[in-house]
Amino acid sequence: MRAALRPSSLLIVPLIFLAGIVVGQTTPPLWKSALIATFQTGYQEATYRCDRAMRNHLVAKEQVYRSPGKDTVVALRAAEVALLDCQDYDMLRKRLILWGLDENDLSLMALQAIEAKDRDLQQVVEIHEIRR
Amino acid sequence: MRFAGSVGAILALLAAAETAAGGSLREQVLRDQAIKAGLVPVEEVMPSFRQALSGAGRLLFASKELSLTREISCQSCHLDSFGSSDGIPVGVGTRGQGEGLDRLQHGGDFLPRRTSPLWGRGALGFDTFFWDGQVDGSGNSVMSAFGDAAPSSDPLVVVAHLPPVEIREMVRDDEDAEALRTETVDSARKVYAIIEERVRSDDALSAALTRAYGFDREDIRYIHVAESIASFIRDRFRLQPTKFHDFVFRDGDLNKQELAGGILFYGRGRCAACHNGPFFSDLSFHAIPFGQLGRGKNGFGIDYGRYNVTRDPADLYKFRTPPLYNVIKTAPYSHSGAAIDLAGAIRAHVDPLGAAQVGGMSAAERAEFYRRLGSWAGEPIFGVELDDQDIRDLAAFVSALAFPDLQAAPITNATSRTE
Repeated sequence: MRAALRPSSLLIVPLIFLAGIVVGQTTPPLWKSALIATFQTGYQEATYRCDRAMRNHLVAKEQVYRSPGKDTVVALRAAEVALLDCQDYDMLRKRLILWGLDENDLSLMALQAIEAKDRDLQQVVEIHEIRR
Repeated sequence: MRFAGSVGAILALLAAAETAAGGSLREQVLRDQAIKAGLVPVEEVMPSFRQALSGAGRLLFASKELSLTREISCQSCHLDSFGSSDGIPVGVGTRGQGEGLDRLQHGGDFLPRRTSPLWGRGALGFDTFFWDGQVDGSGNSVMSAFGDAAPSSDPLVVVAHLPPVEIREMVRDDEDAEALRTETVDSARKVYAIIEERVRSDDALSAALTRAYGFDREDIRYIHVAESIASFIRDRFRLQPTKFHDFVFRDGDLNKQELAGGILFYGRGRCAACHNGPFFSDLSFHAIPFGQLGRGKNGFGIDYGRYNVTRDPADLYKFRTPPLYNVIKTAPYSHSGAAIDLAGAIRAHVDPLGAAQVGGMSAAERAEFYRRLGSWAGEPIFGVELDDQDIRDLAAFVSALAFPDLQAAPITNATSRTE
């Protein structure tokens, strides 16, 4: 009986070691996948909101430049407040990096965000074209 | 399974921590923006008034002696239960009975526009009255239907001259009122003379006025009636600090949704482009393409708004920005009462096509709608994108502009300044 158990006992250490490798190798991708799945929608929305805020801010600045006045200044101030959306985006991005995602993962999520929000090939071209 | 559950719990915690982040920055931004947009402590716009006049005004406000047929008072349409308005899309003047939906169902003489709430109407700096600004004290003199013969330099006193001479509002549109139907200054004076005589003959009303002014009842004139009503409005409907005032000036709290709505209000939503200053109104005129219920001021479901006062085509479809105090209590919304709730009112600002029943419109209605859209295209809010969550956040924010206890607003109290 004792003899029968002995080989199994000998296997415990390598089995634990093997299990450690398996867990060590599989947990990070699983964790990343879970993070991506959990935050994909929120990240998409944050990406879009920041992009929108930046576009509107740019237009508001141009308006102040071209026709300075109370109305355009008020519009610019509102656009500046709206840039808080980009603060949200940055915070989310930093947190996701802190929690284990890397730039590649975030780039993938951003691309998925663009695909989700934009059905126009032009935007995809703008991202990927080689500029001189 | 337990492992998966643990991972899920951790992720949920992370997500919650993410959404809670950045609160203090937002709070500071919101406080700064509110002050930049002109919000001041309510004490700074507290009006002066004489309490004795307010007491007389309270009686006059509730008295049906001010309507020729003794069937309606100011209070008939400015009710506490509806946030000092009447709770129905457009006012029902003479021949009306009951309150709220009962009044609507009973029928009567329908007015072209919604009854405005009265909160803050007597405050310092509040100088533009009615949806179309037909009484305007923002300049050196009071502009009104009285022309050069404005009965007072106080625009609120001028305002108190108008409802008793307005056909269908407090004067019946029938043969008995034929001589008054011209709505001229002369016909108005005839109505005032009748009201003066009634007030002199009423022991309670005349006693209150003679006590307040220190003269004999024979000296009572309509100007005294109007001044008293104006004093009562200044007293009874004066502003009180709201939750948002506490947040801005006393480091009070807003909940997460109110905070998000506030940031939208002063930021991307661009609401503060018009809803600014001490009253959350620029007291100016803007075109928001609300649906048009009822016949409208110009008939056939058309209301040209400010244009009816200025005759300037640039003012077509524009209405004075409504103040937002107690807005949660004053549904329905807009000059025509077309938006039944806050969410609908907010949506109509940015997405009029979403609210309009375009398919059921006649050709004339569609053309009229397009004209209103054309005027709207020049407004600051044109092109603003708000989703359903944004609208809920904004509704939560403007709900924080209510007085803590609306029903308990005192008639007079010692904190009010007196002349």
